[in-house]
This record gives sequence, structure tokens and C-alpha cells, in this order.
Amino acid sequence: MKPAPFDYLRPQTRDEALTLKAEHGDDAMFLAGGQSLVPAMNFRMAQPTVLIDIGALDDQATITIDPASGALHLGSRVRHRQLEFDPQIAATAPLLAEAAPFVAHAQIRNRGTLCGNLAHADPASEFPAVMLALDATFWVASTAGKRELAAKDFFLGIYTTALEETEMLVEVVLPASPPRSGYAFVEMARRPGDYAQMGVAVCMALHETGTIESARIVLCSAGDTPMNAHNAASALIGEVPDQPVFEAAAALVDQDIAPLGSVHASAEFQRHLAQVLTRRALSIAGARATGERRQAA
Amino acid sequence: MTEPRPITLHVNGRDHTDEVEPRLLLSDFLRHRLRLTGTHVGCEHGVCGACTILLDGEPVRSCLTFAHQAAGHEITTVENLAGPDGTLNSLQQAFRQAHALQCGYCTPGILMTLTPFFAENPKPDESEIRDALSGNLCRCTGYQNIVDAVLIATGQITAKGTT
Amino acid sequence: MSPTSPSITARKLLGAPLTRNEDPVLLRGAAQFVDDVELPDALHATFLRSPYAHAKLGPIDVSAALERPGVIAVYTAADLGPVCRPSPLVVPAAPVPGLIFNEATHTPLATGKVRYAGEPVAMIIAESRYLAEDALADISVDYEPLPVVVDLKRAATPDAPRVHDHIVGNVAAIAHQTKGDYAAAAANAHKIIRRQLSYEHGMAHPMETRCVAARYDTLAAHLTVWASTQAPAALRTALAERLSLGDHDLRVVAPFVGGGFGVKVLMYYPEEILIP
Repeated sequence: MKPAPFDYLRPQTRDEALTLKAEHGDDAMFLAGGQSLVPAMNFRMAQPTVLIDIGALDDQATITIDPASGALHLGSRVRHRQLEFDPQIAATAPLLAEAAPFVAHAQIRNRGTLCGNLAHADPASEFPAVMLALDATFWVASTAGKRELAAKDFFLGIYTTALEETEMLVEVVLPASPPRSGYAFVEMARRPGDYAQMGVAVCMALHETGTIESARIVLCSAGDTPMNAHNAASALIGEVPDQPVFEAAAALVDQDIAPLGSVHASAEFQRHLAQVLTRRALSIAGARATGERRQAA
Repeated sequence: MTEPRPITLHVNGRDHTDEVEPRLLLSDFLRHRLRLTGTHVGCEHGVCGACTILLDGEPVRSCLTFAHQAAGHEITTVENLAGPDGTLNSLQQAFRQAHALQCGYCTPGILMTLTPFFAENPKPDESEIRDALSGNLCRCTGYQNIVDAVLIATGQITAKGTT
Repeated sequence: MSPTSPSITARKLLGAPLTRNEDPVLLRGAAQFVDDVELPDALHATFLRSPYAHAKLGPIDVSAALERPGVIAVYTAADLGPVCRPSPLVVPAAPVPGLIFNEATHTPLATGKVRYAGEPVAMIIAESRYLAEDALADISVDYEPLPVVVDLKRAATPDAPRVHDHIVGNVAAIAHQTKGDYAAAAANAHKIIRRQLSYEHGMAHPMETRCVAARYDTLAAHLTVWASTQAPAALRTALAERLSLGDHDLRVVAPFVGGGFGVKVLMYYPEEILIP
């Protein structure tokens, strides 16, 4: 239960961090909060020979809102705790604040980072699903420069992302939510803080006439990666945001998920949960969107 | 370079300088290099909470932190709670009155989790206390008396008759 | 919780809560559990454990581990001599007439074959726990996996894989106990209900995991063992017998123990025998 030996580097700038990663390639891993990496190292399931601690990169801990676009920019060291409590997040991306309390426990959230969590790509994690629901864009950097990736193209499989050997996830950008929008995150776990048996993130926006104009339904613990329930989401477009519509859409979620089953829940039970939790999430999001529309009117 | 290298950590208000390997966990540094054995190790993967300490005033898992990562931060352990003459602080006193510990192995981790909570929540209700405790496991008490201890410490109930 | 509970009531010992004498030291984090006991220059042990639930144990090559700096010794069953014999029976056979009882206890390190996933196969002694764990990867073991049975009903059939080669159906004991006159009761019963009850494996999970430390004072010819155990006296008796020591040549100390719930009582865990 003690980690294997490693060399420990603590760069002072992002360029330095990227140069070190270019030098060491796959032998090196970035250390941000360490809340997923260090347990894996304690079990010796991960044995990087070099750790690049990005803890000194202060400029990576920022949360900013672009005044022109209203987009939210989150740096690589933003911690789960900030997502839970930061007033800017609550105002511009409340889905993050709603999902954050489901991530492990407060002690883990005090250290764990959003980008670390996304790079770890655990299929049961909440934030990958939330990122897809929010239509996030990821900025990934290396010594060769920066490139942009849609969140949906980032998660490739269990613990597998589109990050190349020399790259670091440096920024997450969330577009401003459209007018008349609603959101919800709902999760079922055996106890608070346990791995999700099933989780659902929903974003929807209404047309000014009140019908659903856009919707995204993304599930965690429902497959190898966050699972986008596009059939269910498509069924909502043009419909009135009411219970029968939500129930009909929730029934279609099953087509787009591939839960693996585990000791915590059989795949069959997960499928049942997916439907129930989607219905609940759609109700909550729908009510919020309707509320937004009324306020604007 | 995996060999020991110099480190200075600020623990319970004092600086401690040593030379340790990068892979030495903060929990092991505190317990074996500083002989502050109040911080306990249970699961060694961040789930049980027995190793909880305060890093810059926030509860974190010392078994998931490398000692070198903690350089430049303020570390507080259970040994810092009681007075220099050993007088228990009000939270510890309430634990004693409420019989909030049996074997005592999880207790330091729980005290550290509750210390900032206690400071920031003058009158928490039971569900808020249980929520605050959700990241610490206790096998002996069933948590009820721990909840009572916080209610006693925050003046919301009084201890049952005690000697 | 009543917000208006009465405070200090009449002081009597019976029926009134007492504060415990041990709480202050526990609350200050000053209580000594086994891993807190300061043993300067102590060596540390770790165990190579079988990944297989059932496998023949072939040759074990520890040479690379012995060459690793900081590793002091590596033991397998072959190195232990008479220490490596089956553990004492913890609970003797019940005096039930017609009892079938098959005694088969474990050896401190696996011999011949491994019988459960996690069974210790080798013990590494090194200068630190970290170094000892590094050496685990140095040991190579020849396992020949054997068929596994983990279901109680299937294990009890005559052709099930045998945990102990001489025990058919993996039966530890068969005891028939009767009381009263069932035939008469059945004849007069209003209704007879038969049920087969299945319940889950019970686990104890104390927050402090099992822990054992030992120090041998060569000058005094005296062994001190610190163990996170619920039964230090019984452990002392077992160790004295196992290590051929007189009762007064060793002492077993159970300091503060972080919970036991049964799992730390009278099991004679391999570590409890091997560390001393």
C-alpha cells in the first residue's frame, strides 16, 4: 500500500511543466490534486517514474468569465470545492455546483481538481457527463502548442482520453447558457460519496413559445465513457416540457447506454435507474427552464 | 532522482526540516518522522478518513498527499487541539461527555474534519452534522453520539448526567 | 434529541453515564496503538500473497529480492522449519455424539498449494515498508492454477475441488443435534413451515487493521510482542508453544486496539506467528 519510487518535479510555470512532460513522455504523469492518482499509486496500479507536480502553477487556478461571450473559463487547478462554492460558478454554470457534492467526500473535493478528474476519465465520474451536457470545450497544451477539443471527443474509453503523451489538459470552457434554459444533475449511490450506480446530467433550453428547443441528456456509470442519450434528447425537441413528454423520452435512454454492472448494481438495475433518474432530471430541468422563461417574459 | 531530498514542513505552528524521499506520504512523515502518531492510517486509499488532517485549515487525506507536496502549506494535526497542558478543547470535551468514541482509532480524523465545521457552523442541525461526517468511517459508535457531541459543543443540548 | 435534557443529575454510579478514563489520551491523539509504538531501527515485513484462490505452489525464486538494497531476508515455508506447521485449533470439536470433525488448519506460509486468494506465500523483511513492498515485484512464483469452488453448496458435493486433498466435499464438521420429540410435535402441529435461510458473509472491518510488532532482547533472552489483538494471553500461550519458549520468556502486549469485533481474536494469523 506504499507507492513505488518516483522522481518529483515541481515546475514554476506551465511552459516548464510542458517541457518536462515532453522530455519524459509516458514515464511522467501530472500531479494536480492527486485524489485519483495517489490511491492508484498506493495500490501500485499506477507506477509513474516521474511526477510533475503542477501545484505551484498559480495561474492555473483561475475561474474567469469572458465579458463578451459570457463563457466560463476554468484553469487546470480549479478544485471541486471551488465548483461547489464559488459564486461565479453558481451564477453561470450551476449544474457544476449541483453535481459537485456528489463527488466523493468534502476532504477529497478540497484537493481534487476538475481537470484531474476529467483526465482520469473514470466512467463513474460525474464531471465527464456534466461536461458533455454543458457542451464544454477542452484546451489541451503541449510544447507544440494548444489545440481545442469538444468534450464529446475527449473521452475514448475506461481511463482513456484523447490526451497525447506530451499533453496536459489546461482549460475547460463552458459556453454561456442560452436564454430560457434549465439544468439538473441526479445521482443514485448506495451512500453519499460512493461511486454512482447511475447519474444523469440534463441541460435544456426552451423556445420563446415554450417548447423545448435544445436538450442534452448525458449519463455516468452507464458505459465505458459518459453516455450521450441522443435518442432521448431528440425526442424532446419541439415538445412541451411536461411529464408525459419526459417519461416518453426517459424510456428511450436505454437505447444509448451500455452499463457494465458491478458489485454495487447489476446492469439490469442500472438500466432501470437510468430511466427513473432521467425522468426526474428532466422534470427538474424542465421546471427550471419554465421558470426562466416566465421570469424573462 | 528518487533519493531523499530536503524538506521543511510547517506543522502545528512549527517548522520541521528533514530529508525524505519524494514518495513518502504525508501520513508517514507525520507519524514516523515527527512522531505525531495521533494521525492514524486505515485504508491507505482515501476512503476511511482516519488520516484526515488540516491543510491550510481544510480537511484533507494525509494518505493521499506526498510530504513534499505539503511544503509551503500550514499543516494541523490532532495533537494541536488540546492546550499545552493537555486541557481538552470544547469539541474534545464534548466527545468525552457524549461517549462519542470507543476504540478511538477514527477519532482524530473525525476531530480534524469537525474542527473547521465547528468553527463555521454555530448551530448545525443533525442532518448538517451527518453530512459533515460522511467522509469519515467509524465502526464502533454508530455515529449517534458523535452527532450529540457536536450538538453539545454548539450548546444545543446538554450532556446527560456525567461524573 | 431533546433540547431540554436535564443536565447534571444525582451522582450515582449505577444508572448514570460515566466518563471514561482513557478518553483524554485518545482525544489528544496520544494513545499508543501497535503502529505507534516506537521501535527504533525496527525492520518491516510485507507478504507476497497468492493472486489465485487455488493453485499448486511450484518453485519460488527469491534471489532478486535478496539482492535489492535494504532487503534483509526473505522467507518461504521451506525456510521456516518447525514453525511452519498447522496452526492450533482455535475452537475444539464440540462433544456432540456422532460428530464428524475434520481438523485442517493453515500453515503460516503456504505449503504445497495455495488455498485462498491472498494466502501469504513469502515474507520479505526490509529496512522500511516501502522497500519491502518494492521487493514484492522481485519474487517469481510458479503457480499451477487449480479448479476453484467458492459456492458453499457446490463445495459440499463429493466431486467438488478439494481445499484439503484428503477432505471430500470440503466438510469441516457434520453435527446432528436433536432436542425434544419432533415427530410428536409435527403430528400435532397446526402448520409446518420449512425454510432454507441464506445470509451474507459477515465481516468485521475494524478501523485499525491487524498489526503486530516484536522485539527480541538478546541479553535478557526475552521476546516482547505488540499485537492488535483481542486475546493477548491466548496469543502468548500459542506463541510460547510454537516458538518453544517458556511462558515467562515472552510477553504479548495489546496496547490500544482500534476495534476488533471478533476478527482479532484467536485466529493465529500468519503474521502473528511470523513476526515474532
